[in-house]
Amino acid sequence: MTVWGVIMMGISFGVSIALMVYCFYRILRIPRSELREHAPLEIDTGDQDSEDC
Amino acid sequence: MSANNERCGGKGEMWQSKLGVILAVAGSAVGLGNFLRFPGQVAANGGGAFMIPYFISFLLVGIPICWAEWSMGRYGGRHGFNSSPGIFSVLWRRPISQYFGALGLLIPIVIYMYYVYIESWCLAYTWFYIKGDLDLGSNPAVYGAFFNHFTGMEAHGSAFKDGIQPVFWFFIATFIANFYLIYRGLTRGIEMFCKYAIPLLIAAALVVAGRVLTLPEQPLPKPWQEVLPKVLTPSEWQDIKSLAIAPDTHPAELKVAVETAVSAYLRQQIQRSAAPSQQFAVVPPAGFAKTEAAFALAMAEIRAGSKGVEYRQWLEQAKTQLSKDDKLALRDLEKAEQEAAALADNQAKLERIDKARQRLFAGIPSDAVRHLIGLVTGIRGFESSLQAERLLRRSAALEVADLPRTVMNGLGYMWNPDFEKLKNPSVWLAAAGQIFFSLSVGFGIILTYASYLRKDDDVVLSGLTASATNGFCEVCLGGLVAIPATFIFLGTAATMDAVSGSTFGLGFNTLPSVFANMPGGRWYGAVWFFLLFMAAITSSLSMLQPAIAFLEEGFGLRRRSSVAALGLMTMTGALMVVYFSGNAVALATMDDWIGTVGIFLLATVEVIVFAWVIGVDAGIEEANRGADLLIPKFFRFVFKYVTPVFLLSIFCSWIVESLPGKLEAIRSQPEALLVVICLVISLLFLLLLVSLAGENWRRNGKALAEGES
Repeated sequence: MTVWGVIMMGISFGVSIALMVYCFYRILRIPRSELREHAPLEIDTGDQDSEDC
Repeated sequence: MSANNERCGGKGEMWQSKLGVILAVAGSAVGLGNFLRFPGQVAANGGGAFMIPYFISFLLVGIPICWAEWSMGRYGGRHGFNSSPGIFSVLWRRPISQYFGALGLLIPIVIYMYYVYIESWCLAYTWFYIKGDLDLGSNPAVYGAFFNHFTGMEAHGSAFKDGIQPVFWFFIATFIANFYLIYRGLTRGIEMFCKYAIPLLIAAALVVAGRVLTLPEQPLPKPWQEVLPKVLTPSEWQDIKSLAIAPDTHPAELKVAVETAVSAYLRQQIQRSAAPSQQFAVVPPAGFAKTEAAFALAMAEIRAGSKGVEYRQWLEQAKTQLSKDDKLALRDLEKAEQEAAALADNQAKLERIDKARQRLFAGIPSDAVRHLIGLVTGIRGFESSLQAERLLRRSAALEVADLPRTVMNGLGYMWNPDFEKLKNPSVWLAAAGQIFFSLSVGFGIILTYASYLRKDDDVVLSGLTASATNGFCEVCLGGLVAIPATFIFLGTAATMDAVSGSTFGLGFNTLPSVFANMPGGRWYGAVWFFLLFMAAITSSLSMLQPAIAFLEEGFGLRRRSSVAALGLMTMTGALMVVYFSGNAVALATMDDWIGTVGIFLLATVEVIVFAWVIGVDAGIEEANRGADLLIPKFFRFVFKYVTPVFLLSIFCSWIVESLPGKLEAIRSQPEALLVVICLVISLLFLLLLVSLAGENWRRNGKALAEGES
């Protein structure tokens, strides 16, 4: 295995593991964000008939 | 549960936990492709350098489509829809929109029809390993013969020939297992199963990866010219020698004779209950040695007598004198030659490759080689000395380039980068394609899964987490097992052969022969195929839910009725796959037209609806609602321009490169034509069902009346 092989494998593993650990950390540890307070979005699709259900 | 957290639909099923939905989506994405297709793609497309376009594609194609599907699915669920026709009908209030959603039914249903058959092979191999029935020695060709026989690839109707064959019973067992879990429902079936299956498959992959990474260095095998006389009977070997020495023999005739003798040997191995001696591992070696040219060299060696031995000694000298970098360079030249061979007008490139080889061999005295060249030029079909010289150098290079079979060299085979490859657009397309297939985007599955979320549940972080889990399984687990293990036990030529061959070849032919070499290989084989089965079943389950959701919400069917209707529908198609098993023609046709074309079409429609119909700002705002992580602003541009252009480029390149071949396959194979006709009829049938369901929704006030916008 060449030095570049080690580097590319290390970076690929590092990125994949770090991203997964970060995501699960956010999911499992961090309290739910204030963003939940946002008002429902109004998308103008004309579906007002079911907006209040 | 607070009112704010309830779905608008109110009455329908919902995920029990956030982790449950993430693992279910990750389970849908993690499949055979992570462990078998990905390693082959990396090794064939520049090694570690492939990861640059891979991660860029993840960012620009995979994640945006994933977020779009999650957001649109949750939006549809808020309006009481769980199936893609219903979801499309509320996303884009036009009468035609629900018909686009028919693709989101057709794709998972059809993919399930063949995927469940492949899944049943994994179950069968697990069972065979547990019982110890797959101890067939270490030759991939033996497993190839077993695989073709077992799966019925030899001829159509093999599963029903001479009574019902075992593969059919494994298929039925797998089919029933899927429908049992789907019948249990979203939370008690899919969610509960994935919560156990995903950690279990990760644990299984870690066990196998741990074994591969702790393997000691394996000895290099003897050349096949030495092995062949030992595995054939003396009279068979004498016949082959006489044929090789006869002046009028063409290498093709020798090839047929050797292959016939080897086939008889392989049949004998399959019938034997005891494992054959590992000493005669590879007969004949894979790769270059399968060609007529290699048989011409073998003829020359047999004719050379003692001079042939001198050639072998010269090879040993070359192995000692050339540095590791030189050997890696020889290996890269062979890869380049294999690629160039597939191109038209490749003479100049082949000459450059040969000159580079000549430079590497320049310092090694070559009397024995010259003698052998003289003999090759005397063989029919190889009269040109230039041709013979090149042939010999190529063959010698492949043998010399066989590095010590260590874990590090195995990892190096897969991960050593070739940055030059990044100049090749096909590498970028391969990376985008891998991300696309791996994340299961464009299947319509995430739309349905996300529709069971509560209206303020996060989709951005959840989508990213599911994708990251899939990436971890693919890169960190898939990247450690298949290719390194193949290299350690089978060497450079066989690994090249496995990489350039099919995913099935690597999974079901090459790896079993690797396990045969491994201490305790029977149990590692069982764990490996069990993990593949787990990966496959979590994916196939997800393919059933969109249609179940559609039948329930479109026609008011109860779970039992919808499961029965879908079971009948998918069993019909799956039986077609099982019956037309010769060269896997039905499976390949469905995979080409639905598993490739279909998902590109649906993904393109989804991205266009998200970025252009809903509007990119409104779409991102919808995605960010309740999000634990906001979508970065630069994704507005990505959603609107980059992802659609990327998808269309991939699709156009597929049309240019593959469409003519696929159309020719339909023209030349009546079975393929029949499958395509069935697919068209299925699509028309689904469009009719969508139309009827649309009527029901309008009657029930779930959608706008036709013509209203």
